[in-house]
Amino acid sequence: MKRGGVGVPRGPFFRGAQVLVAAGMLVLAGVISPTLSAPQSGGAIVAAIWQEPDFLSWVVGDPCYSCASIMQALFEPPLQIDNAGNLVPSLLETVPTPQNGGISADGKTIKIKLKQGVKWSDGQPITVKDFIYTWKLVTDKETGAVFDQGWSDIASITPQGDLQATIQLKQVFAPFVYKTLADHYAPWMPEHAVAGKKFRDWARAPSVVSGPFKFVEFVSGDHITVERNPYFMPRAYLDRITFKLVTDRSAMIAQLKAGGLDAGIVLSEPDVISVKGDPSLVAYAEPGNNVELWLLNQRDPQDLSKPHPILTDRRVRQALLYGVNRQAIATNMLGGIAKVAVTILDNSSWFNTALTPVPSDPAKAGSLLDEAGWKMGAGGIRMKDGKPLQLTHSTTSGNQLREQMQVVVQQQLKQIGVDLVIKDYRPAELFGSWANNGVQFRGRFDIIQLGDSIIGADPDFSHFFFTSQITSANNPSGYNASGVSDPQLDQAFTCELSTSDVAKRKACLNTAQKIVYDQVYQIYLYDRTDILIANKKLHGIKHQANPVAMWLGNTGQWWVEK
Amino acid sequence: MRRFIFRRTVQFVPLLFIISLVGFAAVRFTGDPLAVYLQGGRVSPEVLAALRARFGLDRPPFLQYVYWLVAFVRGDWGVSFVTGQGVLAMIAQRLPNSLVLLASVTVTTLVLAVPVGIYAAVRPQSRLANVLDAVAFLAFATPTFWLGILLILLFAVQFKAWHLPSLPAGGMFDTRTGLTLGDVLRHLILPTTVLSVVGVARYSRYLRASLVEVLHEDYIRTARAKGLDGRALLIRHAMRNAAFPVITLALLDIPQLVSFAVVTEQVFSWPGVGQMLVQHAFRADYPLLMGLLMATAILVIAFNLLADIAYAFFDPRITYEAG
Repeated sequence: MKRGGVGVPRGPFFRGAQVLVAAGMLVLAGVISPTLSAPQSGGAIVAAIWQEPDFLSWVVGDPCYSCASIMQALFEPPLQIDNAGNLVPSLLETVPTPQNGGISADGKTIKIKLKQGVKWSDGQPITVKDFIYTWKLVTDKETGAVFDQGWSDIASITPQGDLQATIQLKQVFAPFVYKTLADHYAPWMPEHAVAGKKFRDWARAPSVVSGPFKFVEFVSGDHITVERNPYFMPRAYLDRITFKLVTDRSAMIAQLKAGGLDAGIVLSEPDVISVKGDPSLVAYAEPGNNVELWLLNQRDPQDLSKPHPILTDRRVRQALLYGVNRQAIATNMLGGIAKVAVTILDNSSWFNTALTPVPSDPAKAGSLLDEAGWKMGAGGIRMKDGKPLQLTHSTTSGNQLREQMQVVVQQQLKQIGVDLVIKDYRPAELFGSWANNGVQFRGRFDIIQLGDSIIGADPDFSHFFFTSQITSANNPSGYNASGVSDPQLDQAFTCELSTSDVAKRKACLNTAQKIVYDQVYQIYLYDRTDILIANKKLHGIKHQANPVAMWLGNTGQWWVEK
Repeated sequence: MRRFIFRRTVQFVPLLFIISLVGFAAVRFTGDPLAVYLQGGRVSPEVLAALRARFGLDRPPFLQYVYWLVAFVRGDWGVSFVTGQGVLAMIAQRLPNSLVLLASVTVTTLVLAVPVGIYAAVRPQSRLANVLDAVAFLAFATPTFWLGILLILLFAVQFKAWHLPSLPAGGMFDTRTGLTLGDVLRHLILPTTVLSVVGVARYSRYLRASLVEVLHEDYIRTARAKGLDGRALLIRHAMRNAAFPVITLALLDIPQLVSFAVVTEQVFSWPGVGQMLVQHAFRADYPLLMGLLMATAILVIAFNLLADIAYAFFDPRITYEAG
């Protein structure tokens, strides 16, 4: 017998035994965890949505999260966005950049090239003619498209064959590639399937799509079913997904626990806590692009031509920031799942890393208010010129988490002598337009709490703060309802919108973030967590740093254990 | 009776007109139909203006009402702001689902309420009658939403955890297996229970009160003296008079169940009219809300007339003719 080492028998019998033991261990590992790493093709799941889409095409549909989830499964954009917020090719061969010649030096000419062999769900090739058709569809008033940013900046599209095209913009628009090639508002519509039809009718039951799944049926009030698109590569693992309408969150959690659902989206931090310990469910939670924030009105709600009597003083705004204990809210109300926010770009690769969360400091808040002339009154509320430091705080009524949070911050601010009066509204009234006397856009508020984000994954957030965006009778569609007017901030935004160079744009956005941070034009409470709760048998779920895609941007990669 | 029916039918018209006027003003309080597009600054002013014109919202409110009224009278109930589909078609699509739930609730309620009400009237001092009384008060005090969630947690979630046969937690049928009668019946059990609880409590108490009153009437005493007792006395003589107030009450309640099973349809994800009402109220979908309002108004008025006719049918002393 040959000896291979000290005390180690090496005869054929023992070699054979070693092989048998190793094989047995492999078999045992297979029995215990038969599906550890390899995705399995086949199977069907039921995923809950809590709002029924009005249409299944972004061109005319409401971009609600539930709605967009289904549209992601049906329509593939030319570029995708990864979890770091970077663009990656999908239908296109490469991401157009100034470095690779895809974007011209002046930023007004963009070249795109489709991959070979990309097809619609009926086997017809996707070509740049579909891009041109989509552009005309979106910009045609008859279509009634709800979103045309980027698309309306196109002056012309010149095809070079079926796979290549040159886009000429009317003026430089830095977010163009994100908004028109990568975002929720990017997928093309099939000319050969839509032309000649009423688009709104077609969009309720899109017969031809480009995504990993194709449309099967839409039963209003109940469910929407999609099945694998045989022409999308790589092929989706699942045979079928049924998106079931479940309008009540408690009912959604109950159905997840009962096994009636395999996945539920647009859930909140307390829902994660409620499924803890359930052996059949797993909660996926990642910081998203949505931020829970306070708008601080800079205009007098009684007379928008005058400055706000309290909030135009930066020291008061800073005092509110120091007075609210955001960490306590994140820990005690959100189960420690959400994190305190810094800016609106927190979870984006464009975040200004020099900025840090401002800690709660009631003593500092008090001294700032003293400095601003707000002295503590006998009733525990600060006074100045005979007037109390009283502010109304508004949010969406019926949102239990927000209503509970209001009570908490009311107590926190009372400690520093601020009287917070709660006055809530239904969403349609709070966010109604100028024409409909909406609370936000008519400036009828002191503080509004809402969740908001950048548009898609593009980092531009100028619509909140541009002076030219201030909502008024002359500009009823402006988004700057707080009435912020800061020339330096305007300059920073103008800078970032006028360049496609990533480094230059980042520098301008860093400046814009710093100004908003220093001036406390908005108070960012916490980064809302994108949450999906799913059956443990469902795998392949990945998050996207895109406020619309969130957890359902890669349904083609989902697979279910048999 | 024919003249009465004709008179009441003619009265529908001004009544519906007043309801439509008040309703049109009221739906405006649901908010701005375009609010959903205003969030995030995604939509350009030109697109918003185009949407406003498409929905007719650029006209003065009074003119919007006139346009709506003229179309309604011609049978055009308008187009949903949200889906772009015809309002009548949308209601017609969901109404059968609500009617299925309604039929299940009505049958269950009456089947349970009648024996309970009779027993409580015939044995008023018994222990069981007292227990039924207490259960009735509990039913009145229990919020529908809470009861619905409780039943789901018990019969759907907990029973499954205990490896017992469990009931579905929501929906009208299991989309994995498809629409079958048996599956729909299984899915009906919990929402029917929730909606029937208060109905059984209510109708049983009405029947009990009505029956107690009737059982003390002279003609019942006479019938008993003639040798009639037990079931014959109850069914042939007492119930006929005691039951019709309950029947007319049920007729008045039926149309309300169609659009007011809102909470139950939300909790159980039942794809009916109530669920549609909530979803579209949040979107301030004026045409659909007006359509639902008018449909409910028509049903309420029609069932009111039916209740009056039933009243006259059951009680020959009642006449609606003048003089």
